[in-house]
Amino acid sequence: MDFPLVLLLIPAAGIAAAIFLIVVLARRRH
Amino acid sequence: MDGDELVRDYLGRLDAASWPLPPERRAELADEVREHIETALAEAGRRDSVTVRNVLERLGRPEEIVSSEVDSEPAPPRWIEARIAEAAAKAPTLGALEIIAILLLTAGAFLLPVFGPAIGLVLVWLSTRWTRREKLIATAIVVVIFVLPIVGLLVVTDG
Amino acid sequence: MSGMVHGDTRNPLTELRRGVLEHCVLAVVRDRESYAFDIVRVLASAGELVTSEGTIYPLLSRLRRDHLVTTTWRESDAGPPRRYYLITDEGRRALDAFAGDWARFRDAVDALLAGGARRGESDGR
Repeated sequence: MDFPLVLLLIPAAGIAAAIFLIVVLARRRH
Repeated sequence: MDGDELVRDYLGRLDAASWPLPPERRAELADEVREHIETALAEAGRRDSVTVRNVLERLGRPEEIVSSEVDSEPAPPRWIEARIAEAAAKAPTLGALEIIAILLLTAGAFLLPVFGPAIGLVLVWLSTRWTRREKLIATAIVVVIFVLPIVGLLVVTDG
Repeated sequence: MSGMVHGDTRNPLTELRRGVLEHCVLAVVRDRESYAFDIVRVLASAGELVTSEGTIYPLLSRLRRDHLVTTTWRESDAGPPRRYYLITDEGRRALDAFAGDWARFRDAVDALLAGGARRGESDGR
């Protein structure tokens, strides 16, 4: 029962971090 | 351009000119200059384009400010300066390293589970475009979303 | 003076101006703490000291790094908290040393300029 959860969490974690990092750079351009 | 557009444009030029600076100082300088502009405009009581132009004129060209910043740093040896100049010639705000890191964090999670994002995170730490604090926050995000639920589940199934 | 090592690509007058300006800023924050914008204002009212106001920020950053000033954040009614700068003991020593150097430098230059003018007159120019 854990395995499907892992498959969902990895992308979620990566995408969340990526969004944060992109936003940081985008705001710095201004 | 109206007043606020002029300010945004100026801050954009400052950011572009700030590429030689370490990321912490780059962010700090941007804050200091932004606040200077806001204080000056608040004192003048208006934000029309003429007033803004005057404020920015007195502030000086962004290139000059960064040049002064660079002069204040202890000088690196000549060969490092040459490398930096080289890198500057081809430096956009978003570099190859940063693009690959972000791709690994997102698409990499599907193509290379666990390892993709892990390598992506390592690349984030290697980048010079994010401050240490930003890197810590990004790492914390990954840890919280991914690791903690796993740990929580392990604790529950053991108990 | 540290930080002067970029050498041949830099205008010597720029170095001089920066060194002098640094100590002028120290003088402004010697007796009471001030925030950046205020320091700029005081320098501007003192005379033709600053060509580009923005260059005060690298200068303040360097003074912090060299421990010649300390900073404190204070709330301000006019918006976000402000950073207030105040001289340190090391800053005081640097300022005193500069005051002596500057006085000698200024007197020497003034004397030469005055002497030069007299020479010009006697040559009949």
